[in-house]
Amino acid sequence: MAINTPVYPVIDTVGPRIETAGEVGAEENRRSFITRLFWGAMGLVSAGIAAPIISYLISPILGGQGAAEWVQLGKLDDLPLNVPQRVEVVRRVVEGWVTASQQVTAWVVRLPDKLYVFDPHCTHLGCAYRWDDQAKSFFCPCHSAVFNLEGKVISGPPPRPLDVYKYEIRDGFVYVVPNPVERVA
Amino acid sequence: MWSPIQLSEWLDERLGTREIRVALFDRHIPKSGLSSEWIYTLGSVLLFFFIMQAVTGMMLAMNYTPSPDHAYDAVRYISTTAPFGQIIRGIHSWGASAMVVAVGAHMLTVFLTGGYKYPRELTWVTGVVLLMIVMLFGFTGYLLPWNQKSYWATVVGTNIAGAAPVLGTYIKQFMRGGQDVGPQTLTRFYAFHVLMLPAAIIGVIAVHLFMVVKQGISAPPTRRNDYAGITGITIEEQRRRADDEYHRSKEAGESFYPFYLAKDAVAVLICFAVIVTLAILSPAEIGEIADPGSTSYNPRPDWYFLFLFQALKYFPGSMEALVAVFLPGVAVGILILAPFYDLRMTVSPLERPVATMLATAALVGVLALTVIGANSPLVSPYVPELPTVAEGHRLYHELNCNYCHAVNGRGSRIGPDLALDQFKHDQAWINEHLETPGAIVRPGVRMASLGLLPHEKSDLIDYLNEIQGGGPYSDKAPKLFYRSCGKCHKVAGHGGAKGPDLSGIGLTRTRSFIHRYTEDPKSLYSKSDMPSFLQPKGKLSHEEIEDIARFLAHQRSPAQAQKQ
Repeated sequence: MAINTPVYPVIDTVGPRIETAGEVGAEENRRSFITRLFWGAMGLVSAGIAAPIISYLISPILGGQGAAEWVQLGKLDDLPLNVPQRVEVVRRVVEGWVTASQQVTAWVVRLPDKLYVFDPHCTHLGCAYRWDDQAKSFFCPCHSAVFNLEGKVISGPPPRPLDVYKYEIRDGFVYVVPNPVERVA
Repeated sequence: MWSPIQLSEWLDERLGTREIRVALFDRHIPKSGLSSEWIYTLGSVLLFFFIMQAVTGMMLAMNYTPSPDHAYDAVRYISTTAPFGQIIRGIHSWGASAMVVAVGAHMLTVFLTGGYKYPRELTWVTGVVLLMIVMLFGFTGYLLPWNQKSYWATVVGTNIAGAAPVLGTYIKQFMRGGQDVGPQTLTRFYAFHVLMLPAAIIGVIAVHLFMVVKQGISAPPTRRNDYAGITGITIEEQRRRADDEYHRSKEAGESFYPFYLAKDAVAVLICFAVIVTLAILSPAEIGEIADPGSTSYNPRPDWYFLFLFQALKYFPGSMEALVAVFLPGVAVGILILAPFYDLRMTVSPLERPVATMLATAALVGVLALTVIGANSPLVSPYVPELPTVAEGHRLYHELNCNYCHAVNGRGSRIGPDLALDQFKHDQAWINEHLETPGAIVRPGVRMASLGLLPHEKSDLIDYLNEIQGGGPYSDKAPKLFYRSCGKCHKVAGHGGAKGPDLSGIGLTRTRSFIHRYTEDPKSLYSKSDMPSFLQPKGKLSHEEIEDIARFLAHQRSPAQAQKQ
């Protein structure tokens, strides 16, 4: 027994049906309203997601320098004259959700009339420099930059002298705020 | 039960598998010379590398924690303890380098053979984006082992990005997740490396491959001086002729499967074999744990960023932005825009002298800078610590021993400096001291009770032993040193000046390093002028070298600390 295929009425949507001007306008209005509804809804959802995500993602650039806390580096009298000392102390810092011990490292140069506390990173690309006792200068192993006792650039690519830490001497002890402060060349 | 044919029909009805198969595997590949066909396997090799990196990466993630407290130990565990961990990590590490090489080669081939031209402009643009994503993978993945190499490469790399004008500082802080490279940087890089970049690369790969199938693989370059570049023939006419030519050559070609896919499979097999061999013969390094306060480490980026690092040496810091940001930006711009300003349909490298010369110059420049950078004298050779020493080292940090003690002047001064000679106790003493702190130290001085496990105590003792010079040396050692090494080296003011003064060597180098260096200097520093002293090449026995190494590891005169 053959099964008859059902016959569906064919609806000709593009046929030569004559529409009135009012009908065309209504259909177009409906279409443009629904199109705008779609993009509007999606736009609101995207903006709703993007706003917190972007703020979350870029939040680190909004935070300024680390806490301006004074850290004790040691006794001034323990520092030899004219020979840079690398001083290292440990402090607790909060970084995001992590509270960890952080090493504070500084190069301290005690000259007869002046004290320099240098940030331990080369001002070119941030490599750790070292004291070369034979050449009596600071030397950075990345691009062979050389700085003198006062942190001035002797040779190499750094754009400015060594950065310093703000310091104070209280009761014979040296205190610093271990945030690099740039000096002009 | 269904027969396989029924099953495939069932699937076809629902998924359209036949159509997919015809489009992917039965498509014809334009005919070319036999020898040049191998160069066309690079794309498949890259796809394989990507899958290989994804799979090994997933395995590594199972034993990894993106925290400075644990990352290094996790990687050490993978490399030393986890079964096959060393091979999986080796494949992932060598695979990263292989991927950069293959992307570079793939791109160079396409550029030289004009494959980026109409109608494959978008395939090319997505390809350039893929190159950049691969470089970002390399950059973010490099930090994850949290060793000295990775830490300092990230400090330098983020500083280079920070050289960008105006926005530099913000970009740097965005990458670091704060002011400094620290715990936030590690979690950030981890999220990028394992979540965001994979999502991005899968999307772009999908578009790239869709374009390859849709437009077909470009035909091998033939000379087209019969029509291209001749005045009077419009770009449209050139394109029409190129299309005709392409369809003819495609019809003459064979189907992708099995003829071309077999070649791809062979190429993949060879590349995989090379990577596994490298992973076994030269395993990924564990390195020393990241130490932000270290001043003896010589930072270097991974080799594929070395050209940029080296280029920065030739420009003053005021021009840093030019080299670090502007030039790479222009290079990427030229690459992305290449198909849009180079409209002529010439494809043979011989007919495009400017493009060919540009590509050659860029390649030679990058290679030259990489080689110069790699041969730079200041490297950071490294001798792995013995497992128990490494474990003791870890415990030293985990137990925060540096809150009271120091090693070679680094740390606190409340307790004694553990590395210096005045702190000399035998193992039994240290053992008892760790067991019942305070019982045998002078009254009123107490160390916290630690409740260590027996093997932890012995690991700590091994570590202390190593930092104190690796054990006592014999009375003969100084004499042996001055006789064998004194011609070139000084200790305590005596000796020659040809080599570095070693009076402070113990501050920066361990006994095991000095031992290895004396036996085979070139294995640690390829440009060393020092000969090997081990018999039969040299005059000393293994035991004598050990004696000298211990003697030298005890030399800690601070003012004489070495450059290297």
